[in-house]
Amino acid sequence: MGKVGTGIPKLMGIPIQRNLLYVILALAAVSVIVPPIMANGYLNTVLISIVMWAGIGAAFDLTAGYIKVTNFGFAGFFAAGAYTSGLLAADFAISPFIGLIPALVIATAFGAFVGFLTLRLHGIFAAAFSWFMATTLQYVLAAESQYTRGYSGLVVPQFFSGISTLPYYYLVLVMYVVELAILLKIVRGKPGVAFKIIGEDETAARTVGVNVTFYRSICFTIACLFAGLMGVFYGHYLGLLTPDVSSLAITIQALAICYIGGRGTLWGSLPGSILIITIFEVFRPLAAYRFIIYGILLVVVMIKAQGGLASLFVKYLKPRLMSSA
Amino acid sequence: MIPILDIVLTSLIRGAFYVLVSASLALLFGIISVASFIQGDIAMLGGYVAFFALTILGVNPIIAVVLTGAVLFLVGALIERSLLRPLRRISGKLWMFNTFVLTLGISQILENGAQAAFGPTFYGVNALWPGVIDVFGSPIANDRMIMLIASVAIMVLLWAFLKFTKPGRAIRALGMNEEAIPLFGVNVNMIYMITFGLTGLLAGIGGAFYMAVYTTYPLMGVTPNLKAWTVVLIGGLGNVKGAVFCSFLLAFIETVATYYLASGWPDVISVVIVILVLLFRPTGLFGTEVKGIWEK
Repeated sequence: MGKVGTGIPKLMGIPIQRNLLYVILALAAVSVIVPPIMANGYLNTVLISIVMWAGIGAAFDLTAGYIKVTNFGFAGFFAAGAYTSGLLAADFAISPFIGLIPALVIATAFGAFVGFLTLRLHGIFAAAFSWFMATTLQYVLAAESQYTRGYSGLVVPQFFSGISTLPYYYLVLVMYVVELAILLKIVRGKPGVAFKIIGEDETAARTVGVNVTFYRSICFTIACLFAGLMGVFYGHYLGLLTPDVSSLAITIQALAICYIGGRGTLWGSLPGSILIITIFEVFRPLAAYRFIIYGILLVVVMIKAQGGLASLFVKYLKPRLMSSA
Repeated sequence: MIPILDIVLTSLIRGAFYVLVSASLALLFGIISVASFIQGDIAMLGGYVAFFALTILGVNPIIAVVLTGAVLFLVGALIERSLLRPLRRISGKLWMFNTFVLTLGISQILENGAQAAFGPTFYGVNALWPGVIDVFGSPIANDRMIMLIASVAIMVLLWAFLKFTKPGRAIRALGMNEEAIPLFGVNVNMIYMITFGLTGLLAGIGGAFYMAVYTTYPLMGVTPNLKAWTVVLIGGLGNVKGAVFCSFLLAFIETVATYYLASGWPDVISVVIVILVLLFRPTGLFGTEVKGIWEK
């Protein structure tokens, strides 16, 4: 990773501050080593939730934070992935690891389709359009109950046969790291610049020669691909799917994690997810009250700190890491 | 033989439940460009207020409705003053979208707050005016008929308020040109507050009616919220007349669909209509120029 000659270490080809690199490596080491040492089933499920929602938030962030199209039908793509591989596994006994591929194809195709249709729409219209697309999917999944089992639920074979949740943790961790690496690679390159310009001002982007149609579609589609990936994990991890996988609740949580973590960073969803899932777990005995906290967090972020946790990090921690380098 | 009369009556009554919440959402879009996600939850609160007014205070139903309207007016005004005003200061052209995310957070607070305060119980009351009325041979429950008439009456009152009173004219003026109206000595902040309060009043009374005929519970607002968005997206954001018309249109389509299709599919029809409208006529059937219709 470190590159001789430049003097600046690089992570995936991106120059990075040495101290920041150490922090990231330490975090990676902790996330790999600690769960088996602790050997705590409860801790595992919490960590799985955190990593899974960080992945979902990052996929949401790609459109919300870059091309500024809030995919309010996010759950639809999540459900497309989950149901495709779920149905293949349940009805045709296809291993989830193989079913993953058609699931990603379907989620991507659905994403490309919706992404193409939303090209003309902006802001609230794009959000409403994708919202109603996901709602349609939810209703169709509920109405076509002879195939999908509707609200009685589709029982999905799990990824691993054992009782331990540790393999799931490593699986989702690998999925998340791969996702984050690919997305960071994309946004640090030429497409990322195009995404940001489109997000700022589409007309200006056209003027400077950015192919808006292409980049907007591609950004939306990639986000849907990773939504589908996390959907596949979710289905084969929980082992039960209902049409509510496509409901607004999933989208709202993805949006909250993305906004609270910080839009336009991709990695911001990780602190967002850690904060929200931890709050959920800590306040679990308080039942309904814990969701109030999460509403309050979203309100506070909107009014006081639209950059979310990521902006706090950049403001307070980064200078310290830099100065001691 | 198609029971035309039954379908028409059922649609009118179903539409009456949509019209108040939808009109409140359309008003917010049209006047202050707020993409509200809480109109359904305001209706839910209205249901609770009306329930407690009827049972604990034991007041006359008409007074209960007035009381509900007054309380939810204050709730709406309070939400605007405490949460939307600070957001307004920091939002530029992203104002409309920011209000959407903010109200999404508020809706989580209201729904789960209601869950924490009142529990998951369904609250409902017995028929306020028991009995049925015979409309050209079709029996309709008295309560539903009265709700229909009251909803229409409230919409007429709203129209008269916006048309003839001084605050009403100021509200419409704000919808037309926000920069110009301070020049005429109108307090813009006050009008924002009154508009939000007014939409709280409308949605709250809508919820009170819903509670009277069905029940209220913490997630009661989810369906009215979806229906209000459906209606407003079909009719055109910010077009109150379009929202009134499309409430009844949507109710009619759903009633016919319920009559012919298997369960589950009528819901699909109404959301697919929204998708088609957004694709081919994003300004809605009654396309109006809303401030920042493309991006705000």
